[in-house]
Amino acid sequence: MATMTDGHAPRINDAPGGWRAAWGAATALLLAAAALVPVPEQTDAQNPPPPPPELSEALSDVESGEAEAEAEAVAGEDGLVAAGTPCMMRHKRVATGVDRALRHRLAAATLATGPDLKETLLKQIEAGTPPGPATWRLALARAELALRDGRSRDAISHLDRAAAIEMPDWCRGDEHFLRAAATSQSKEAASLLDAAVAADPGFWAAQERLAILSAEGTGYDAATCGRDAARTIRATIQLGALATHDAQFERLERSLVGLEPNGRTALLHGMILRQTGRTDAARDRWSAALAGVGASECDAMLRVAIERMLETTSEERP
Amino acid sequence: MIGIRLIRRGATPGAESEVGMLDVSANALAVLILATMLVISAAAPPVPQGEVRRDEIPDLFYPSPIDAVLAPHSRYVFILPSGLVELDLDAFAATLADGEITAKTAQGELTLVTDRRSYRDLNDYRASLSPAWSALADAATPLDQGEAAQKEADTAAALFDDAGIATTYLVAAETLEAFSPLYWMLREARVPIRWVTVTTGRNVVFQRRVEDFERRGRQWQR
Repeated sequence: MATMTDGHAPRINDAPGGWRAAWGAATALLLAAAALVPVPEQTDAQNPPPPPPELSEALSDVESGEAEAEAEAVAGEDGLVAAGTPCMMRHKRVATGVDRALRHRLAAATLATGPDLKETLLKQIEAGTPPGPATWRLALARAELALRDGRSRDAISHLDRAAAIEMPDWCRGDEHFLRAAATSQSKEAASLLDAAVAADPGFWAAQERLAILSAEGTGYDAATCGRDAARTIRATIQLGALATHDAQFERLERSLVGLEPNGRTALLHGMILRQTGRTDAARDRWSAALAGVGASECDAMLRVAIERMLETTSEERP
Repeated sequence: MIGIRLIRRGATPGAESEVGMLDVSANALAVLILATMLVISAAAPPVPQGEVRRDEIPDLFYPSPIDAVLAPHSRYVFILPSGLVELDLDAFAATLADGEITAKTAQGELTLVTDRRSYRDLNDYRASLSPAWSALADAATPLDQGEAAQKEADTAAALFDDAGIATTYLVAAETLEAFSPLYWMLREARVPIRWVTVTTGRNVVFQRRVEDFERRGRQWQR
């Protein structure tokens, strides 16, 4: 700032305050511009954050074939009907020896179309039934009904009652699944669905919901994106093993139509294509997606997942 | 015209006062810029961080997708040559819940079978309805006028939107053509429905069994 006082620069001397103001304005402009720039989630493309352990494990399991083997083992269970709900429909002999009269009354309540009548009938049956698989089933039916009617709090209270009844782990999966339906928080829903598939990996609806939710995304930080990518990979492999016909996968594929195409949906779409034997199409889908993957931390995780899936599938090509 | 000279009383004209004025105005300008940018920043809509889900409804298959998690409530409507009539399953269910095997109403007779040797879920059933076809025909609202179809389309849409009730149309094979305008109205309004053909004179069967879960892409039978 010497020039402002040296007297040899008349134009500057004429307006020393103008310089200060100009600097002030420029600084203000810079500060304001900085405020407009979104919080830098952009990451150094050369040094992306390390993927979370869930993603590394999922990718290693796909590479080694362990993921497919585990999925096949789950799908190979005798009498498993993955698309069934609840656990009693999915698995054989979960609730044997239940009184026929009670089952008849429960069937009548199921046949009722009016929510009010249905609730009244279920309540009446529950009132005279000792705790056991039947009361668990009734609590679950009432939780479903409450959810359909938008009464989340009632649903949770029915699910709490169900959780207090001793049942096989598979059935805990149904409870977690409905709890996930009762929450509006995608992160919480994804954690509950994680618990549902851990309790029953052969639970189609839970795996399908988790695949879609992870493709929608439950957050944008690196750890969440990595976890979502791992969920997409694991859920799709399990669904591939569980699917008994293509129509089931078609439904999952159609669900993607409503989502904005991006790295996450491309990962899921490619996985669906791979699981239905269209490896070349899957690789094309992933390659195209890689070109559009950005530089955010989230994108870095997707890039890791997609690149590793491309490597893994290079040997699967005919 | 009146000319105004903005000269401060007692001020010494000269470079210093001009510099002072410039200083003040430039600083004021800087503050103004900062304030403006901060207002823009605060008022700006949040910048999308990553992917954004589209709001508009994509062009989809029909029927429209419904909640994958929970099946909707059900409503059944017969489409007969004489018109449409809603089936009151609740009237049957209320009787059957008392432990009766058969329930009879003006709309027909329904027999509920739950004595399957190897059941899976506790509410497996097979319900065979023997409709009172002539009584149903008498109670039907003719569909030949567009108004009745429009009213039904509006009802089905409102029931789904407001109460999560999805309609299943039981269409007599000979009424497919009469059902067509209603079908297109529902399609244009993106109302999720199911429809099946039924044969007049034969029983209509409702069931909830394990095989349905594998066969059907969509689980509506709860």
